[in-house]
Amino acid sequence: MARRTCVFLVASLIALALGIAASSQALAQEDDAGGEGQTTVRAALTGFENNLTPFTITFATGRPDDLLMLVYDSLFWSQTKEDPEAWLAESAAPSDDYRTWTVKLRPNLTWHDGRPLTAEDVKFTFDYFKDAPPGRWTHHVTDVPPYDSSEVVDERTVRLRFAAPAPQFKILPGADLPILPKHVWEDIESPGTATEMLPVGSGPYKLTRIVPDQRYRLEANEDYFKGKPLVDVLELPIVRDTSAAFQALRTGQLDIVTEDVPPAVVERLEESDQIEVHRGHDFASTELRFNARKEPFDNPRVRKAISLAIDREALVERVLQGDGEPGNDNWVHPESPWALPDGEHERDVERARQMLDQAGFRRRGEGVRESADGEPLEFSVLVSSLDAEALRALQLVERQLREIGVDMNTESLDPAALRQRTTPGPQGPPQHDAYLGTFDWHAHTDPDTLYFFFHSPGKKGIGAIFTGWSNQRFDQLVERATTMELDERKPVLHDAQRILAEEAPLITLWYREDVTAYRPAAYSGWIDDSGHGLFTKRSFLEPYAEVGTADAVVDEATDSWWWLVLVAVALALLVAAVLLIRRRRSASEEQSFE
Amino acid sequence: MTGKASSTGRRLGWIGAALLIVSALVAIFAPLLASHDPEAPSGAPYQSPSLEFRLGTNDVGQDLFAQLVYGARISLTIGFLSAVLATLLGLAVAVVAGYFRGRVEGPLMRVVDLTLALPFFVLVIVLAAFFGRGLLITVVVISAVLWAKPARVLYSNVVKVREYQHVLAARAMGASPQRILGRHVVPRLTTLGVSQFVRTANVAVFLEAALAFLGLGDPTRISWGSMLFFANARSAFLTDAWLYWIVPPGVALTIVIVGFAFVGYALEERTDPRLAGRRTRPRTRARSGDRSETERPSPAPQAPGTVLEVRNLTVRYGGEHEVCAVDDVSFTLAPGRTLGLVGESGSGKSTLAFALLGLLRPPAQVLAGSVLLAGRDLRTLRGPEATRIRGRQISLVPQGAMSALNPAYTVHRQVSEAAALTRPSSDEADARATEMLERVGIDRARHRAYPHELSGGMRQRALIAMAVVNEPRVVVADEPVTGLDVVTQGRILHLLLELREQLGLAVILISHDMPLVARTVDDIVVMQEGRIVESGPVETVARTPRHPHTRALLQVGELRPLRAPESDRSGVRR
Amino acid sequence: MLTRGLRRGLGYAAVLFVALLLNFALPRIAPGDPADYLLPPEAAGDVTPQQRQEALSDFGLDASIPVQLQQYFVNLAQGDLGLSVRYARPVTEVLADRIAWTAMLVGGALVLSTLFGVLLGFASAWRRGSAADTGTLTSVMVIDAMPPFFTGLLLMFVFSVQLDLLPVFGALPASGATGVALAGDVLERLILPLVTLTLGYLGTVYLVARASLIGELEEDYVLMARAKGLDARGIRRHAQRNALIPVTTITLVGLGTLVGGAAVVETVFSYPGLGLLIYDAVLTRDYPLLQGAFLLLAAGVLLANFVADLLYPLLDPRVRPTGAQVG
Repeated sequence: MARRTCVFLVASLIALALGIAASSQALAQEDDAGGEGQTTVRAALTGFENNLTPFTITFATGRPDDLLMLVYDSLFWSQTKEDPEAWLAESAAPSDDYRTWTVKLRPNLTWHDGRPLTAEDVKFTFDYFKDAPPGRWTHHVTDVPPYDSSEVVDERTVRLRFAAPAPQFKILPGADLPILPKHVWEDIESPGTATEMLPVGSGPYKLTRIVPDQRYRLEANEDYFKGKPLVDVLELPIVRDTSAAFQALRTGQLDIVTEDVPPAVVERLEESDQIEVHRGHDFASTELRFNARKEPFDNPRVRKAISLAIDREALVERVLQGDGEPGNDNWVHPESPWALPDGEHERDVERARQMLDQAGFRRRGEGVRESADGEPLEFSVLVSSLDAEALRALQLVERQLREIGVDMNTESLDPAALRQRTTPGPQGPPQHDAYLGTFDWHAHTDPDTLYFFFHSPGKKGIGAIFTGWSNQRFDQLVERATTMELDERKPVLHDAQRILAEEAPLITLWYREDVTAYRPAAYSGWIDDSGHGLFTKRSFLEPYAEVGTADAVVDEATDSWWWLVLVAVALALLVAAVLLIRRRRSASEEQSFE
Repeated sequence: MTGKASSTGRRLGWIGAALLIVSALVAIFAPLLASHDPEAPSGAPYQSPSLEFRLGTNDVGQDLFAQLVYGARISLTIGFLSAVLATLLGLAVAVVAGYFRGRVEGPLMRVVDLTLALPFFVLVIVLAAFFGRGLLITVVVISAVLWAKPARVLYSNVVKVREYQHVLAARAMGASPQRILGRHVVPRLTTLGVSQFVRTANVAVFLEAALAFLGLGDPTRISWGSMLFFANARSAFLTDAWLYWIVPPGVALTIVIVGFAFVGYALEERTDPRLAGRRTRPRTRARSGDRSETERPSPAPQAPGTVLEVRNLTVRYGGEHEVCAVDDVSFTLAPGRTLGLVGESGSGKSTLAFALLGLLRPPAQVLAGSVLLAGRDLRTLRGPEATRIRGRQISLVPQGAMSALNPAYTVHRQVSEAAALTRPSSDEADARATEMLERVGIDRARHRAYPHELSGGMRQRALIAMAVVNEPRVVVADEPVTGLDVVTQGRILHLLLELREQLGLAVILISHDMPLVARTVDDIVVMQEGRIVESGPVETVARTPRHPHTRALLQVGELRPLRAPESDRSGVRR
Repeated sequence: MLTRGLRRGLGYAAVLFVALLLNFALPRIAPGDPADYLLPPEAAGDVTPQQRQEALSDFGLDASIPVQLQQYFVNLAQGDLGLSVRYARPVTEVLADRIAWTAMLVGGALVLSTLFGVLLGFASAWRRGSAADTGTLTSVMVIDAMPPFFTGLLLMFVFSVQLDLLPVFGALPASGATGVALAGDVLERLILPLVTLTLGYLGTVYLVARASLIGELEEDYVLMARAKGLDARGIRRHAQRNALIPVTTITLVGLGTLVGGAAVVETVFSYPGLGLLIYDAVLTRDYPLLQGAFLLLAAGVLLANFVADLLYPLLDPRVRPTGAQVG
């Protein structure tokens, strides 16, 4: 019987192996093996972004915009600059009041499917986003600037009208909004569920294959108006675990990881002569956001005192191992064109103590401060239980605040619960004390970002949803700024940032540095496109990238079929050995008398 | 083999207990062991182990040794509390369902079954994500998933206990349920409850760590799971830090879980001593000073005219209460004769029977004497030689016909398998089996029946067929008719005697029923407390018993004429 | 006969119904809802209730709870599990993408742990009390005690980081190999998770197999088998035949446990299985996907039980429904 069991199990194993072979065969059928002489770059993504359309991406990766914009193009590029380069557009001219923009497209633009890209598509895109459900791009069409309507002048020219002056049009939405093909999207009623198709864009790469949660394959758009991209094929496997991704990079299974290198690993990677580590800046910030609707944080003194007490240098040193910049009081990233030039943070524990004393929180001895009614000055910070970096930061902040007699404790939640606890819902304003959050790069380079994120709640616009803070003077400044010309706008935005710094509705802990590692042997043309990192469209285009491609990468995976044989043989041997031993033992174990 | 019986489990139990106690001590005295605050950034990040930081520091410069030591607190507390809660919950459900029965029993046990069927780990993930973090919540979530197993196990025991005489008596006397439960039922569940508690704690410790590792625990609290979570999230295993950041908490977890597992195993072995692992084969003969070695000169040749001669056979039961079950027994058996071996329960009859076939199991062992069959001393035979004697030269008809047949095979197969031992092809063996089964009176239609489909008498016939299928010289029938009704008893004995004549067997009939034996056999041996007190031809012993014990045995029943019942003859071929 | 089958069928139906209800209720009890996920953070705070409803309407989650419940059963009856919130694709498709990988991983682990658990357990039981038995028992229990994520990390460190023998992530290679080479790649990526999961379940099977065979070896029929002259192999056959019965139950019932346990292993190795999918769905409050995945699990567990019910009579003739006893 036992032998029969063995036979049965071996048979199941063989069936399993055959199953694997068959299923992988099925998976492989659409993949044409890369032709001779093709260059391939294998870049790890940390999450699955569905079928890479603006309505279905999941924001599971670090830089979804740059990934998306490999497939799509915008009229201008890129929004990190004050004066973005004309991309699909050849030129764009405003009316005197900046309420109308006349955009002229480049000649002979085509979609990936060969259809011509015309002014109709631009008009369609703006109209479509205006009616779309709220999302990452919509508020740049519906709110600031408020898009109204447009008319097609000729095949290459479109006139866009806005309900308010839109001097920032070239940056936003011009350098942000992906232009969509009308012929694909016009019949789609609910774009959020349009996941069944491969996207049609006009960008340098075509998405040719999706294996959900496992990988994407992008192929160069041979007819791209900027010339054929330098890398023929981008294989984008999804590696959720960061450690695994960098391990794979080290061993040569990957050529670049689109995620920042974890601080601890930087040194290890720099040791290797096959791997380059590039440092640039990321327009990202990590903040402690107060709930300014609620005691004690409705009091600016308390907020500012806590801000003064936090040692941001220490956080950068300990948590990021130095791979970042300490946060500034004015929040906006120092490299942003809109940042206050002299914005910084000073730690002043003594002043923090005084301010808390003034705010009425007295301290007896080394204990926790108490208000006049005997309420202790304590609060809890909500944080995602999956964010190790944030958790570490809060451990340190907790101790720093103890010095000024503030009792902070950390409450970790799962991300969905965190979001629900901190956003105003049908039940009214949220009831938390404070929480830890991050803003990605797009937020820091947007000239209207202060309006979007810090304007009082309840007004038109998104409002200070993150903090519930409101300040009339600030509101006036940012409202005014939304319609001003860009160079006039700067001083106003600077004033607004000064208020932000003084009022401290949120405390910027740090700006993370962009640390990217890649294997130059596979491709060395990477350029640092400010705020986009290395893995962005200009890295693959001739005028920008250094032509430094190495020889075609040989597909290393093709010679590993012997594993199949090896494992099968090993298993067979193992089973045979076990059977043999058992047989032998049985023979020697005949029972004797006694 | 004395005292060795449960050594494995007991030893593991002690090791497990020691591991747990050490872990608990570490947790309790954490402040004394650690020289740094586990939450304070005491040193530079990523330091290698040194005198100051015995396991180095982590990504923010916290002392990993201090974290390891303090981490024991969370792991053990959660493990302990969850196990207590889950076991108590299980106990409550078991008692309510098992004792009060009525309407609650069915639905309650369905809930238990449903909970058991659920993939508990997935459930824990869902519950933990949904209901938040924190020690108490983790404990509740873990117990909410783990209570069903103790409930199921304890329930079946409550069902058993409630039928006990004294419980039934207490109920009949109108004792209150509380009193019965408190006095009689719950105390009986203690051992099982403790073993279930340990099992649950084992899983709970693992679950806490797994939740923390997945980021679903409370990462603000230092536990082994959260240490691993941070190590993994901060890519420790790509750096040298893995050796002192990942390995120690992993090993610590393993130690605690293994501790619970060992203790659990030891407890389980106590409730089910079979697991203790007695050896199949005693290895006593290799031991020096063993009397069986020294006292075995080459035996004198077998007495002429006998098929079996037992000479000075002595069998002892080792263990804590040493007993001489068979003491210096000698007798002979001539071919074709029937020898009755009579004695009351515990007189050593069955032990003697097993000794004849070499089937004694530890702690029983033959100390001296010899068993001569066809001129060979069976005690000198080893391995395959010994196996070849059984069934072919000497065979057994055991008592308890139900359990002596393998429930998984048809009777025909079980006979044929024996027949195949002396036959070259399986076809011949099958044919022989069919022939034998018919000969013992089992209808062809029933040959493919499984033992549970046959009556007691039929089963006994099948066993007889199995014993004689290879025409051995001697058949030892050990209480072959005990438990059967009187009519069937007669038929079976008759069959045995018929076969003896047909096949020329010698039969040893072992029984406590002296009158029955006296009607059947040629010679009689009476045993008491392992010794032969009287022996001789049946006429002599039965008519003029000399020993008082023989007389006592004879008075149990009166002689009845032996007569083959007509109705049962059809199956026996002439 | 018929009534017994009917009752069992009704039992399954009842359990399935309760599981379906739980499926529906559990995610909705939790804090947070898919609207928060669908609307990006910069928009979520300022959306009108209508916009919230609209965002949910694509997934049929905008209706009231009773209506949703009704719709859930109506759709279920039509084999429609709804639309996943995270993937914006039919749940059936999302599950189909994962099921092959999970089947491979969990199925493989089930087969391997059963194979080795039974072989070791039987060998141990056969020589119970010996040094070999004690040694095996102890080491299997120690392996069993190691949390799978720890084992996984260790294996990954040794075989991937130090020795660089095996890849560290996913189920598919980074670039598109084909044919046998691809099968090799897939297998290569399966090895570490498979070994981890197998080691995690081996102990359970081993302990049951050992205890079960030890129990059987004490039975009278084994003594009888010896008495009738069978050699060690023959005796072994008798005992093992019966000892396999509880092992089968454990193996089949273990299916649910394994799929759950696989979640941790899948996280460590970034393996795209069902466990990881459920974990993600929990975090994103993807109600329809959670419901679908749970349904699949419940169906799997019930199916395993059903198979166990079917196998039982084959293994154990005593529960075979044949005629009554004949004397």
